[in-house]
Parts: sequence; structure tokens; C-alpha cells
Amino acid sequence: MAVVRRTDTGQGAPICLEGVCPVEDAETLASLILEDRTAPVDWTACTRMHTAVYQVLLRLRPSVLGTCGDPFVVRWLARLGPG
Amino acid sequence: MNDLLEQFLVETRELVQSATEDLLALEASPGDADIVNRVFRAFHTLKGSVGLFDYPPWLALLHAAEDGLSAARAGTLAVDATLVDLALETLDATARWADAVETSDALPGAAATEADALAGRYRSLLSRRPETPASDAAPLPEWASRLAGSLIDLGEKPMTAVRYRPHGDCFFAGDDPLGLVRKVPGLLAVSVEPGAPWPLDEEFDAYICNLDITLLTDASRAEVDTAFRLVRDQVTTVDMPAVDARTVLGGANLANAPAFGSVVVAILAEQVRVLATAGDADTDAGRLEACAQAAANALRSAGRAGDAERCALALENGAGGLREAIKAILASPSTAASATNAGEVPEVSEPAGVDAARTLRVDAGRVDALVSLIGELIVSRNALGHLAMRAEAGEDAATLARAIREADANIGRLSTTLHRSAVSFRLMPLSQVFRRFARPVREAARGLGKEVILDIAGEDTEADRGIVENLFEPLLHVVRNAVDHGLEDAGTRRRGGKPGAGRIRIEGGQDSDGIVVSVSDDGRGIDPAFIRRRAVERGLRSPEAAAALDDAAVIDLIFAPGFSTAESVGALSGRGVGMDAVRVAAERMGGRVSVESRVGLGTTVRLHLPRTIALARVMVVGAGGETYGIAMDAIVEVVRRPRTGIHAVGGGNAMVLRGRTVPVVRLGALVGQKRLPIVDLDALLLVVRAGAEAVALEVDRFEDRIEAVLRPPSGLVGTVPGVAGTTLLGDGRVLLVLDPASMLGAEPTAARPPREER
Repeated sequence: MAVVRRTDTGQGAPICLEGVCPVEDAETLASLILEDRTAPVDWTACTRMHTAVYQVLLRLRPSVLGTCGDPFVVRWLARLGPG
Repeated sequence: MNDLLEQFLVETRELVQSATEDLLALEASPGDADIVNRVFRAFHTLKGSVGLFDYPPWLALLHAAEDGLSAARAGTLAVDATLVDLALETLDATARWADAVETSDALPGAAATEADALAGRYRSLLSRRPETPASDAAPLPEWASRLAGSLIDLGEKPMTAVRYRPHGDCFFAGDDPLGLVRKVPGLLAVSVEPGAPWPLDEEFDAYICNLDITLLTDASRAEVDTAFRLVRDQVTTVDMPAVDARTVLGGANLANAPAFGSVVVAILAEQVRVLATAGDADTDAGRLEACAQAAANALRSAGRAGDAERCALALENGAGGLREAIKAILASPSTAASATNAGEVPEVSEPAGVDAARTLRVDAGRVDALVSLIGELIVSRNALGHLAMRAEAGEDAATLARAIREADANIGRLSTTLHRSAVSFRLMPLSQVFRRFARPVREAARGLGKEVILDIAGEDTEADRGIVENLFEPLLHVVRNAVDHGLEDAGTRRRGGKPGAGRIRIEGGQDSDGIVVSVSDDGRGIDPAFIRRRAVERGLRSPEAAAALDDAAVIDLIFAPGFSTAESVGALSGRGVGMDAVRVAAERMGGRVSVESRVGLGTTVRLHLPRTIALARVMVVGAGGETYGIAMDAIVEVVRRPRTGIHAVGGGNAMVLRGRTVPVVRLGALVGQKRLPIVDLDALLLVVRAGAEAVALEVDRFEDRIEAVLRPPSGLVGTVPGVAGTTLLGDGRVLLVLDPASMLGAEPTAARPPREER
């Protein structure tokens, strides 16, 4: 539904995850992170994260902003957040 | 029925078919890892698609089957006849249930019991193998203890540890592994780690799953299994009993930790303890019942209906009996589960859904061709409108007539082509029916203790659906005969210098505009002398007539009705049970059957069948005041002869045609018309084939020659012998199309037409 976006093109602008992030978002997210390794990921608006999206975060370890909006991630997986 | 279900049924049938073939192939070469793999995948896919619907017993059965095959694939379970038979039975059940679901949207009533019995047999196969099952409680694998160690508060409750290592391509299969984890109730800890070291940044593919998920839950094993039911091959589950049930149980042997949750174990153990303490006689009966009930409930909750039943039954044997029963279940739960049910596979009485509608799969190219033809047809139709305008404008009749004729020819050509391409939709390959023979042949051979190698060739040959689907039964008859009577037993074969295993070849092929399906064996062949003798015994031919027939004609007698009966002819004849049924079936499809045999070398039965139910060319003839059609295929030639050339011979009339005597029969007499005075000097004769003979059919008029789609006889007409079908004439009249061969040949003696005097 909601995809991975970048609010502006400036260096270091956060990448936002919004709403339900399906498997398709994984690749977009990965390429955005790889494009600009300084950009943090804002996951506060993400309500549900697909495994593939989580795997991207786990692998690339960007810095994350705030608390994830997906309660499952917060409860069980948040320790893997800020890398 | 919704699309998903429809697709599911189509797919299920295909999978059942291919898995059956693979299983049979597996039996021949048990070590073939590729085939084991294919069978496993077929069951895995079946399970996956059944899992999309709500048929719990079916899913449970396929689960069990998958477990068994997974063990076979891993090499921990031998691929032997037991496993193959069991898997085949599972496929049988699956096929039946697919039919039931198609007709009634539900599984047959007995499905649950049957599934339970079959699943139990898989479990007992698995429990027989030496390896301790993965569910063995001790020692805990390293990952599980690590996970447990991460818990701050190790509760008193028993726990289940799960390790889930999703396949690398699971995202493509639509899996969301964490999505499954979300559904696990009672989570205590979750850990997600890379399954293998991460690749470099540039090589990282977001769509390849490389995760090793471990989790702890206080949910029962059954609940965990439910959550992961579709990915069971990727999951390892370990019970982590908090209170060790073993200590409670005392004497009962728990060396093999049961496959159900420790809560169930605890309940069962408690019942054993209660039963062991002696009470007074009054309370004992009640207590006994309560114990049995508690144990049965616990077992049912763990999905062990069979064991629950066993407890209920053991109740009749008193406290001791019940205690022993529960102990036995505790000691070897999987073996016990199967023992109660294995013997009683229930009969299935639900309708098999024979007439259920099937989906037709059509090559897209054929549809495209049809669409473009229809486009042309529309253009041609527009031309008609234009013609009408020209007529209204007063164009002269001759020019118009020519133009109309042209348009007619054009539309005629298009409609013929359209018909042909529509008919081609119905073409299907013979492989659809050929592939079904592997099992019957195997079973027939096994039943008779013979070894048979089945060869199949030409299965790409295509024919109309109606033909292909009706081919199975007659062909099965022929094939069974070949196995039963045609092939000798291995000893006899070896003495005759043949290999011990008999060979049966089913072959399809084109034959002018029809197809030929042949069944050959390399057996003993048919002995003409025996057939002669038998034909005389059965009163089919007089001894003289039998002696006069040549060997080929004699062998052809095996198709005569009444030639063979149920009494055993096998030992001497080579074959012969019910071959007349085969001939009838072939003729009903508009074909014929022939046989060729050489003593000691084998027999070949050929079915010659039309390829399509095509446009039939029909000759319209008059007899008396009525009009009949006769299929052009049946007509050998049309002749006009002076009546003086027809002579009364014996009981009927005959004439000499090209040096051969041909019986002459009036069509009017055949269809039961009153005899009308003959006025013409010349007789109009249609020479038709009737069996091996030629017969001249005398008609009063030739009216027309048409191309028509024959409707098969049905309803009232269907019961009348000698009617090939009906069609509509241009003026709307219904034309009965006759089948002279069956009118003349149906009953060789009784149905002979009445004598005519001339």
C-alpha cells in the first residue's frame, strides 16, 4: 500500500516506511539505502512490515528513527533496530 | 463453483496423475532420487493447494504423506512396496475427494476416518525407522537452549521451541515468514538471524530470504503445527517440558517421547496414576469412566482420534485394561494410532461425480484462429445485406442469383472451417487415457503373479474428447485380456525361449482421417484350431462353415457375441472374455476393431476410430414415402442395375456384382415398411459394408447428398438398433441416418429381412 519514499532529494533525508509495507517494498528500500548510506529510515508510520522488508533492515543496518509502528516488530524484533 | 476451486480441481487431478505415474516408476527403480523428489514435490504442492481450502482431514493426510516422502527423500525411510502402496492409496483418496468436492462441495462423510487411518500408517512407517524422531525431548538442540536462556523468566509451563528456516525463494512463493510467526499464540521469545553469512552489499538481493528464525512459545505443539502447517518442511519443532512427565509416570516406558505436547502426556500420566491407586468398588466405575474420558479428550485435542477411540474401547476391560492402553499409547503413540485404524478403511458410498463438468484446456492459438474466422464470417454476412440492397434497387435476377450463390459458397466455406476449428478444441491427446493404464496393468500382473512390462507409444496422437474419454473401458478390457490370457507365466515363457517378463504395448497412431489404437502382447497368440472348435461348440458356426473360414476370419470370431462366457477359457484360448463388448464399444464410437495373432508370438488388437466427430457426408435416399440418410462412409458404391439381374436365391435375393454374389435387401423391408409394387425397371442399389460382407441395399430414390453434423441417437431413437444418428434437413425435417451394418448384422439369423418375391 504505502511504499518507501524519500521526502526530498537532499543528502541524508530520511527514508519513510508508511502503512503496510509489502514484499515489493524490500527492493525499493534496499536501493534507497544503498544510494545514500547516511539516510536514516523512519519507520514510525509503518503499521506492518513484510519479512523481506525487515530483512533489508537487518542486512543493511541503517540508522532508524523513532519506534516502529508495527507492534510485532517493537515487541520481538526492535533490538535489531539501530545498527 | 468458484474459479479457485475449479482450478484447484484441475490441478489436483493432474498432480494425482503425475504422482501416480512417478510412484509406479519408482517401484521399478526404487533408488531413483529424482523420482522420489518429484513425488515429494507433487505431494507438497497438493498439500499446499488443499491448504487453501477448509478440508482439515485431507490436509492432515497429505501432511502425513509429505512427512513420509520427506523421510524417503532424506534416505531415512526405505522406498519399498509398502510406502508406494500407501502413497497410491493416498492419491486414490485424494482423487475421490476431489470428485466429492466437485459434486457436493464437501468431503465424503467417511473421509475423516479414512484420512486418520492412512495418516496413521505413515506415522507407523516413520516410527519404525531407527532414527529417533525430531520431537525427542532430550537433549535440547543448541539453538533451543540458547533461546530459552535468553528468557528472563523461565516459567513453569511447558514450552515449544521452533526453528524456522524459510527457503531462499519463499518470497516468490508468496510466503511472509514473519507473518506466520505473528500468528503463533503465546510467543515468549523470537530471534531472527541471517541463515548464512550475508553477501556483499552489491550482491545483496532483497528477494532472497536468508533468515533463521527461532522462537519459543507456551502454545501446544498442535497449535504451533497449525501455524506452520504450510511450511512444515522448513520447520523443526522441539518440546520443552517444564515439568518432566517421566517422573510422574513411574513404570511406563517413555523412552520414545510421544509426538504430542507434554500437557497431553501429563494428563495421560495422571490417569495412569489415578487408575493405579486402588479405590472402593462403588467409586471405581465412575472414576474409570472419568479417566477414560479425560484421556480420550486429551488425545483428541492432540489430533489423535484413533487413540482416543482406543481408550474408550479399553474402558470395557476395566481399570487394568485402560491403564495398559494409556501406557501403550504413551509408550509408542504413533504405532498405536495406526493400529486401531489401519484395518478398517471405510467404504465410500458418495457419488463419484462421473458426469461432473470438466474444464477444457485449449491452446491459445486455436482460439485465435477461431476468432479470426468469426471475423471473416461477419464480413461475409455484411455482403448479404449489400445483396439485399441490390435486390431492392431492382437489379436483375440472374446477376443477383450469381452473387447470392457466391456469398453462399463463401459462407459455406467459412462455416466448414469454423466447424473444423471448433471441433479441434475438443481434440485431446491419447496420453490422457494411455497414462491411466500403468496401474491396472501393474495390478492385474501382480494378481496373476506375472511380470509385465508396459510400453506406451504414440500418446501424442489427438482425437476427439468424446472418443478419448470413451476409449478407456474397451481398451482396459483388451489390456486385461492380454495380461490374463495373452501372456504366459514366466516359467512357460522361459521354456519357450522368451524373456520372463511379458511385454504389452499400447500404441496410438494416425490412420488416414482416423486413429488406430493397438494393444499388442508377446504372449502365446490365439490358436485358430481352438477357436474353430469353440465356435462350433457354442453353436456360432456349423462345423462345415467353421472349417471353411480362413484363419483370420476364425480369429475374428472372438468378437462374436456369445463366443466366450465367464467360464475359464484362458488356459487354452489365449484370450476371449467379452471381446464382443469391445467391438460394440468401438462401433458405438463409429469405429471398428480387428485382431491379428500368430501362435506363440503374440496378439495385436487394433481399434480403428474416427479422429473427430466431423461433418458426416450423408446420402439422402427415399424408400416408399419416407426419406432416410445413410452415412457415405458405409457406402462402397452406388449402382443401377436392371431388375432382371436380381435373382431369388435361397431365402432372399442376390445379384452378381463384379464376379461376386451380393445379397440384395430392400431398404423399405429393413425399416419395416409395407411392400409396395415395384414399378421401375431398374433397381437403385447402394452397396454397403456389413461386417466383412458387402450387401446391396435397394432404395427407391436418390434425393440428395448433404454434409451434416450427426446428433448421436438419444431418447426414444437411442434404443432403436440401426440408427446412427439424426440431423436436420434444409427444409427443417428431421432425417434419420441409418447404420446399415448394424441393421443387417445385428442378429445374423433372426434379423434377416423377410423374403421378397419378384
